Amino acid sequence: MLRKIALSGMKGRKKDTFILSFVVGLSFVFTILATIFHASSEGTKLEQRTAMFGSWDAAYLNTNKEIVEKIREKDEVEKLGVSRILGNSPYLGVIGTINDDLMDLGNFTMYEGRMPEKDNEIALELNRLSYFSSDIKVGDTIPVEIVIPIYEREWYEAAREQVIRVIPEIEERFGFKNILYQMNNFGIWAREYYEKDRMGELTAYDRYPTDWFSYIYYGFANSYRRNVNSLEQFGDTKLVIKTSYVQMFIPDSYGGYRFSPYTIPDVEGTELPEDPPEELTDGSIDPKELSMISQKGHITRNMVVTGIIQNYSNLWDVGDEPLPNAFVTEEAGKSFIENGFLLTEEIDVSDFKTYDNVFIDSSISSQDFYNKYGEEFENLRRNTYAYPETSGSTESTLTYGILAAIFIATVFAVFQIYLTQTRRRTRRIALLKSIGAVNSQIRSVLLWEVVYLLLFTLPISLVIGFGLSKAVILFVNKYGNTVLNLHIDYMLTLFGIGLGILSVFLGMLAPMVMSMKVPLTGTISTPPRKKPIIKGKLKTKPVNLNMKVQSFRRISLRNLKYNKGKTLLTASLYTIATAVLLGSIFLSFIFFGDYIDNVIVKDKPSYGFELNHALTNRSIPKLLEALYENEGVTRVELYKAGEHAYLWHENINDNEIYASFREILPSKLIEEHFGIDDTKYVNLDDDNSHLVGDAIVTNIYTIDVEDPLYRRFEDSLSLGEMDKEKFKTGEEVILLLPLYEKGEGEGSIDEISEDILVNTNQKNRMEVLLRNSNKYKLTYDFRYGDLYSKDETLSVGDTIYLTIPTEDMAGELPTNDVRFIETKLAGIIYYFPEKGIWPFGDTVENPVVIGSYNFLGKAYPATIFGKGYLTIEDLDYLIASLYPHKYGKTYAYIYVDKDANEIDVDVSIKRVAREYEVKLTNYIEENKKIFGKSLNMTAIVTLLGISVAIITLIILYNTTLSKLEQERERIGILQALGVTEGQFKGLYLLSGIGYGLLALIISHLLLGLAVLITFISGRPQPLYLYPWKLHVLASIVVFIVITMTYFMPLRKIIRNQPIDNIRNLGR
Amino acid sequence: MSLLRLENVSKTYITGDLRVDALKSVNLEIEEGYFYAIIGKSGSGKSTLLHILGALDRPTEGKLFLEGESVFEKTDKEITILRRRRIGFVFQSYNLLPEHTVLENILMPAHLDGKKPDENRLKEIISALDIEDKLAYYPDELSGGQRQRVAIARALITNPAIILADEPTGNLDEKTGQEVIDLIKESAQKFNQTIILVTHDMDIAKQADRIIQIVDGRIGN
Repeated sequence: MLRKIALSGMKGRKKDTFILSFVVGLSFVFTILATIFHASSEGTKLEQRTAMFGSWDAAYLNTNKEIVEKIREKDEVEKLGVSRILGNSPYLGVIGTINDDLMDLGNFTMYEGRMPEKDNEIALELNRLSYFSSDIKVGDTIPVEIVIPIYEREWYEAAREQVIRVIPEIEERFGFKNILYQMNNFGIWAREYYEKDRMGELTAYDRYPTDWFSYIYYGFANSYRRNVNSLEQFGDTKLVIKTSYVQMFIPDSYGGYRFSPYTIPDVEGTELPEDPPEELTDGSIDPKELSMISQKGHITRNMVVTGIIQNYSNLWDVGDEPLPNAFVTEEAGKSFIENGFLLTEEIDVSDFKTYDNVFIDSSISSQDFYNKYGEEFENLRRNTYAYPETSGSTESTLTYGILAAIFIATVFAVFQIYLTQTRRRTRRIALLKSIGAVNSQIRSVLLWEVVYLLLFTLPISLVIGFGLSKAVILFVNKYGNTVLNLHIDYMLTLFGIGLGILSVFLGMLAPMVMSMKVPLTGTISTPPRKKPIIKGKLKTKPVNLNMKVQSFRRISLRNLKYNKGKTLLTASLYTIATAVLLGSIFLSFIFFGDYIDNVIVKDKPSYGFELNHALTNRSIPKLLEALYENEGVTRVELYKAGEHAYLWHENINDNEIYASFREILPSKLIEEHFGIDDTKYVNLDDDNSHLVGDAIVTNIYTIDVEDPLYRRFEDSLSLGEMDKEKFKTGEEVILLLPLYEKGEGEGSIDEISEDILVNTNQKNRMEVLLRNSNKYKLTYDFRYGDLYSKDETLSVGDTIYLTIPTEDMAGELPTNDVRFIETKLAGIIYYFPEKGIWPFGDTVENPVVIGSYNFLGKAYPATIFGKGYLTIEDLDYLIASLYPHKYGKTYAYIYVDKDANEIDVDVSIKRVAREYEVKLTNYIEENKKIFGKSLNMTAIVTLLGISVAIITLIILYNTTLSKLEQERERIGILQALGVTEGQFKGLYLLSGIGYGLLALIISHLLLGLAVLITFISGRPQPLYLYPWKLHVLASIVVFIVITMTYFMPLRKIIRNQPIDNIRNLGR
Repeated sequence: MSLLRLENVSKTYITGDLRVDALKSVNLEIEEGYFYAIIGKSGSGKSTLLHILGALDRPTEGKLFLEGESVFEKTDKEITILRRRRIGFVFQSYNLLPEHTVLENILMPAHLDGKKPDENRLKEIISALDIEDKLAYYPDELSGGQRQRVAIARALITNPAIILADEPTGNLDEKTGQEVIDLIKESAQKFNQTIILVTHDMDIAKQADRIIQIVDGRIGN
């Protein structure tokens, strides 16, 4: 019966029931949305982590079968992925076997095809494709060569051994004396000699060695190898043992070159016999008499490519240990080793062993497994990438924040709506009581109402909530360039729903108690005033009959004061809604700031190439052509660079930034940035020593004047103009001089921590140290264009002097001289308008010279010729030991169309990178991660903002409505007394405006407090970069909404006839 | 010319499918200076009639004339101002504003018109209603009878032409009720006002100069 009363009552109050259902339903919808979004976000992250890093909990690498079996015996081990490392392959990288468990735990994603199943099948990593000169497809049969190193040492160690063995014999046999003598050379000195020279540790003995090996012309090492190969066949497996010996090569005095350990050296001071010894022939010798450099087993089998695996080996948490780049079955492994290599009769391989990598899936967590067995298995490592230690993220915190906010908002909303209903239903409740209903029955009726409300709203909310979650995920995936999979954390969702149900019951608790107190007379007595008036006191108080006229405004203000609580509640709710909405913008700004700052403003590319020398002008078009071959590449910006030039100009000593930097720089690093030792260079004298002594070290980036990049710099000039011809010839250059803001810092070298220093390099050190010591902030960011200062020590038209160490050699010794270049300053760039020019927006160098290729050629003549016949490795060695800057550098920044096929582009760019042997940096993943994270956070924050704001506004609308309902009688009375419609409208409009303004003011104060907190916590937000227009627009919209929310409900009431409003009481 | 005239006034309430004809083609003339009592059973339409006479409600059909002018052809603002200046109301449940003192309640109609009433008139009214010592009190500190006196004072303050009282004694005991009726009559005589009072009590009705009987939405006698 009570249930029926409850249900019929709800049906009778359709409007109220609808509002209540709407609010409660909305809160459930948002709860479900928030929990599902959170679960999806966390679930997808875990999926992505395990997909990227494997789902194994721990690994033991480079181990043997004994350890593998010990691990297998542990109770917690559920799966054991084992990969036997067979060896290296020139094209395929590391080859290993794979078992079923490893296939499961590895979560390998196939780019194409499948994993191998038979012993003649192989699957390789995607990044290996670029090693092949032709395209490899699934189904192709390729020769798989595994190289097993048997013996290896440096060739010069072998050579030394041979020299030591052979020379005394030559001396004895042929009577040569003093063979060990200094040789003339103009090539590369032996490594150990120049290591000593660099460190300043050469001794007199070193300068005049008796070991003539130190001076051997090194040129082409391979030319000095004698290779001996043996071939054996074991079924499908071919085994070649390749042995390499060193054979000395020295030009002899009889005109010609002989390959022989006995060849006579042509050295000054060596006593030669008049006639060549008879034994000096064409140099045939049994290689086995030579010194062995290396011995390797090359096992080759033809195998069918069954699959191409998405790159994984550079991602897993295995430290520096190499992982297989190609997988074969365990049977295939046996074919290579047991049925191949170990059957050789050429050499003794009885001691040969392969090693295994083991990946463990345990029944307990990764951390627990590691804690339990970490000591027993010393080299056990945890998969920290897939299962990071830190759980809980900002997103989690925000989600719980959302749930809490929704909970509070719902309690308020339900409380407020039920309160209104209760007041309106007092007569009915009194009626029920008058016919005999006791309080517990009244309570039951109300509780049943809540039950029916929940029964009605929950299923609908669940459906809408899940549907909306799916839609939000689709939206985030489409526009956020992320992949978010739908996950439901049932416990969390149930918790959220439980919280929602609790909030409904809590909200109706107080009104329910009030209902039970409704007296039989049918009215809820007016709550007593806080300060009861003492009758006696007032009775005697004189009253002014001629009191001041009460205007309608005064009358209304009295009403506001009389209802302070309601007024305060209304103002608070408006403030909450406003603060939440504006706060969402602020938080979104913070979250997206990262993406804007690091990707958009800096014009960050998709890939970066760095080559250890400057390409010739003829090579550059070839490189560009190779890159543009892939349609996905939209833009390539290429620089030829010369580094470590000393820059001087007339006012350089007035530059306070340089002076400050010098003060805080550790002494060991000063030479990288300033010219201090002008006595180092032989062609500096009193007249020109200042060109180095007072100079700052700069880097020169040069561009092709016909390239669009030239135009970009031209358009970016803050001062001056570029004359193309003069720029091209090198007569003119432009400079990048960053904007600066002076700080308060009195920082000294001691305050710069080692952590900061270790992450700096020659290019970014000035900006980082000045910022961290709070002395100066430097930037090329256009957003600071009007806010920061500009370097005024240089003007357009000034002459700048560049002094560049020639890095020439005179014989064996460096010439220690410099080259002087004078040029005119055609223009200055203080900041880049709108988008930056990479990499200058990111790494703030100061100063930077931008010139033409011809200019580079003048400053660094060696760059004209490229690397010549040197290999990249040769160059690396030369750069490390002799000529750090002579050959220049090439930097290329590649921009890819976001709609291009990522894999295609990646493979093609990596192929070019391999061909040119460049150092490749992939910025794509970084950019995506930043954007995805920003969007996720913004989506959550927006969700928070919208959900709380909507609920709050509903509460507000309803509050106003119910407030007006309660005021209807008063409105009716005032109408009867003669207050016009216009007066009511004016009052409520003013009140709405008042609430709106108050809400805005308090919200801004709260936001200001939040900003202050960010400043105090050391993470200030650049407020002048805040999207103020959006903020103002949002504030205006909120203000209008508040005003209208307060004003609109009035219109209906004042249109009623006075008697209808008066009659409303107790309806 | 009659002070108030109703011409073919009907009032119908429609709630869903339910239609209630509270007044049916009522024609009525009210002359100045008399004390009228409208009597009828509960639900007969007497309060509806009173409310329309006081322009507190609009008829579904018909017209109301006040001193020859058609009231409901005016704008809402004009009607409100007219009500403010020409009509005083006394309700059964007093309808005083609880956050204002007795004096403030009394003076409100005049103040809403932007005027200060004549102090002597005020003294006269509060003296006649015997509420001089209650002026600083708030309505919820008064008894029912006292509140009704305040309501009467408020109705009188602007010296309206008409006082409309809707069951003013409904919430009062007999003695207090009679006192209120006496006060109303006295004030009307003193200030030469027309009173129209709705009651279901024949004893009270008999004290009026003229009785209008309403039966089932129509004027009987």
